[in-house]
Amino acid sequence: MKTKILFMGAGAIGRGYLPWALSSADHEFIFIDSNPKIVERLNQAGGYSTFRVKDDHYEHQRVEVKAAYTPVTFNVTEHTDAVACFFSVGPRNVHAAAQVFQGTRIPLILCENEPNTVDVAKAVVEHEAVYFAVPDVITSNTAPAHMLAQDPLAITTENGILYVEEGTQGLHGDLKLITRDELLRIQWTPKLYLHNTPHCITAYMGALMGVTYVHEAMQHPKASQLVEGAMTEMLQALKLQWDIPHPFLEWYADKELARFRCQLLFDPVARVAREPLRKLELHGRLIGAAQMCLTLGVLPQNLLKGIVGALLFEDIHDPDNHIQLMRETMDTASFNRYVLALRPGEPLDLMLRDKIGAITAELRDLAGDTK
Amino acid sequence: MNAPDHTQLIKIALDAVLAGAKLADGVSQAQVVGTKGNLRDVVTQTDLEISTLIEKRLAGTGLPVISEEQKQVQQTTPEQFWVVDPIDGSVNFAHGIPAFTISAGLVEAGQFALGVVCAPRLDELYFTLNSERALLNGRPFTHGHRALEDALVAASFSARPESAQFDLFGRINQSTRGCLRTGSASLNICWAATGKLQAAYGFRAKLWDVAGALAIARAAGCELALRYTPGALELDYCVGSREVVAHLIQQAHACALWGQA
Repeated sequence: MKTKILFMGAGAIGRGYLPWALSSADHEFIFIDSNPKIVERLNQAGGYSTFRVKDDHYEHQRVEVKAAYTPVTFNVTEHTDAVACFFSVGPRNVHAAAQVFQGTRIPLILCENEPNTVDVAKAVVEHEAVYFAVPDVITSNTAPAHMLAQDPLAITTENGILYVEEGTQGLHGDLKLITRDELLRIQWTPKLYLHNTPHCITAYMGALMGVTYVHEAMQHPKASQLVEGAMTEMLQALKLQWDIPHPFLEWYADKELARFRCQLLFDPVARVAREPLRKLELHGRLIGAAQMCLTLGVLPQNLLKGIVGALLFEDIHDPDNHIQLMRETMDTASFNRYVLALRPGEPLDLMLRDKIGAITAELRDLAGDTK
Repeated sequence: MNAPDHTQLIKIALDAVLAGAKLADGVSQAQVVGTKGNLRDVVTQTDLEISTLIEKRLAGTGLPVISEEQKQVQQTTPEQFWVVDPIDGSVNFAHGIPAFTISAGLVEAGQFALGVVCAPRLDELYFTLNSERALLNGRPFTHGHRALEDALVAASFSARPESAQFDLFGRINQSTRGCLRTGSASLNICWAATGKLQAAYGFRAKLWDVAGALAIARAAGCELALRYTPGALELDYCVGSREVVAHLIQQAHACALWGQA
């Protein structure tokens, strides 16, 4: 008999990637998503198509969906037999999403790109069966037009690997269970700095150039050079800072650059660039990365351009779009201090104050080249 | 010329408050230049300078400004006006304690519509984008309502508190995790809005002390119990989690504070 797996979030990772990593012969899939249109479509069609890029072609999987709900229509008491619920709702939404599981013991597996979301969820559900997972994959939240014409919920993903913190039970599929320490050191650290950092920089360059997909940004020589430069800076820093084999880091970096260039993935710039303030958190993929470089004597010239790219990101639909209001109103010193949480006079603060004007002009020129 | 909209107004207020914060931040030794009738109500040279600076910047909006240091009571209450406190927590400021703020609030049709509160020595900048969105250091936040048994509360005392205010302080201190007195009403309210505290209250508070912070608490989704008559320069407030605010009002009734006209 199949056991039940819940997915909180039917976006890129939840809908596009996780069904490839979990055995549909052993599990039945139930989705919970805040978008009622997706829920309605999943229930009407009883499933959807996900396409995996492998060796320059697509593999197709029809994912059968047992049921789909919004958080409001989902009654957790009917699903306490679930072996796990995979979360992929975005770090900011974990607290609210975890409230759905209050009073149950259902194990939660968080594919949330932020390890401390585990503590956030534990505090809400008041049990310890909450685990971190690192999907080493890029997954789009959409698909090329011809696939969408066949199935509006079609989605494309890479052939990735799902690393899950040890302790989970009853899961069948193509996933690797490793200790939390190993997960954070060997998988999360490279993912944060060799994937998340250059990936979002690529997207910010793409947004400035007005392109739709990440691979289109990488087709521009100057943007590509900037992303590769940021990757080199991160590689130098990681080799100095972390006890991770250097060949592994170099392989990881090459793999990521190839991913960003993948023309079959259709990874939207708007998805990767969204919520720039989250990406500008003090210890995160941009500010934290640049500070790590400076601490280690690596000059983060390209990372600095990535930071400015994030500051220039404009999307009226983005929840962080008020970043432009703040930039227009606040001088760089105040912005650095209050919004970026940099200490006045620290090296990154001084570098940004000194260079933001020139970098802004350079990035605007880059955008102008492509229009 | 069209009247500025809320986005334009908050940008001007943000610019003005940050300019004031920069001025306060540059002062290493505050100089007390007077008191207002009791030892706890001091005025520093910096209060006066910030007041002038912020008023000048807000003048660009064309709206009247009421400031702690420049009280111009109008004959009629305007529909929209700014309320400025150059330094809320002047005693703390004068003693080198970081719990003080620079703030501006927009009162509109008797409502606390917009606010900016900056605590420079704590690196905290609170402001409203509009009446439904409160930000701390640029990040949106909402108040997570908590139960009374989880509540840490902060009180502000008026310049000349009656004994009932001390009675209430004791009652709240005993019936919650504790009652703080930080010396800055606006900071109390902002901390209640973010959920560091579960409630903040004050009786016969000065409008300038709390106008900006109340707008932030409102936008963050706090329960606001106010006794404010438009046009008045004083008000009573209990702000924070629903259950905790209800408890504060009940206790204030028992101390004959909330029942008073």
